[in-house]
Amino acid sequence: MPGAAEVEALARSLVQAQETSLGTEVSTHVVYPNGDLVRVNVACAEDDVVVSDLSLGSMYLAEIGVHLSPQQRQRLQQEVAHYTCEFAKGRVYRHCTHDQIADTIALVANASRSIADYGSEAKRQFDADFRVTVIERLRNLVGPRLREREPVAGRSGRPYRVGGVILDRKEVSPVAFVEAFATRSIIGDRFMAFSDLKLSFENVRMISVYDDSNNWLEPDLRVLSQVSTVVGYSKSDASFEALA
Amino acid sequence: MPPPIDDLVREFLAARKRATRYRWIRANHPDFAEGRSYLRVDNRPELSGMMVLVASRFQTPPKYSFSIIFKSRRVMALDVEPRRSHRNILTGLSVNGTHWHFWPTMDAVPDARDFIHPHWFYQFARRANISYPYRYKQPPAGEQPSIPNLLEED
Repeated sequence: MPGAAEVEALARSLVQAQETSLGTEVSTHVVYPNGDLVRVNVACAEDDVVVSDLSLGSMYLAEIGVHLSPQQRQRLQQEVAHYTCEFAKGRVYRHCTHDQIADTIALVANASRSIADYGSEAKRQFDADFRVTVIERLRNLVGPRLREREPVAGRSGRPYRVGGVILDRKEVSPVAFVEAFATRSIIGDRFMAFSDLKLSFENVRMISVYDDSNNWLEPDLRVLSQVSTVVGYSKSDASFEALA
Repeated sequence: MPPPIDDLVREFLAARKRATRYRWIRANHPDFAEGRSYLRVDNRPELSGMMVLVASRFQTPPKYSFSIIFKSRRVMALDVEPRRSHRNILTGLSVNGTHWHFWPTMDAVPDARDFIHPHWFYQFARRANISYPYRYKQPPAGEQPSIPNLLEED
């Protein structure tokens, strides 16, 4: 059974510092979700010390395909503030004095990890990816009759950018509005859009195409079915060909 | 019933993929630039994904990553970190320098070669079976910001 001194030495062995062009880079005991130790940078200028993660937490999110919306960034600013740190322009940082460096390293490392942790719960930006897939398929079928992200006003007067507007053969009037759903994250917005648009465009088909290779809850599909025809992508041949 | 994800990932990675043009973006994060390119397989609309390029602008030696995202998962990656090492607690391994990750284990596979970014991009595209018919664009370089003005705009 190792004694306290040995345990302390083992624990300290994880912490390593090295000089870099940006200051001193320190590996910490904190771990990103992929298992990598969090590294922070300590930069000193006279009496001012800035400890930051050099945006490594944000880079972690970017590398796994996560884009932060302004609302998500705001939420993360509040999370990071719990560690008395700031989150701005992708970087977690904290100013401190020399005798606060050790504490600040711990705080910034934990704050940076909380940024990366968000990748586990964030709805990833695959709505855009799936939308492009659906749009390209529609384009192959209807060619120039497709208008992508076309602004259309609902009964309320509010404008919406519809993912895919299919025009009639004269390319004058819409015959279908198509939206693609990779995940449930945009259901609320699109439900509102379809509800409002249906009132102005009674003869236009509203079509929701969802990525049925992901798991969906039946209640979500029922909600969408109140305002649109709901079609799983793998079974969408008949629906799409009817638009051609 | 949708096919198991492992089968889909293997099929996607093995297929010849056409990429859209990426452009470098540094909005909201001046420390690094990010480029995205959408990946398609001809006649297989369900096999679509994304290639993500991330490049640190200030770190020396430079840090780059190339990732393929498919069905919300990072399924293949190249992390370029020459002369830099970091420890991974979950694998118990120290990762030294540049390394690859492949589905399904995503364990780090070292690569001791030393290339500049365009050559790594070529290596990644070739190994990932990606056709990128556009002109390659170098990640935007940056000048190291002075302290304490670390967050000033370039």
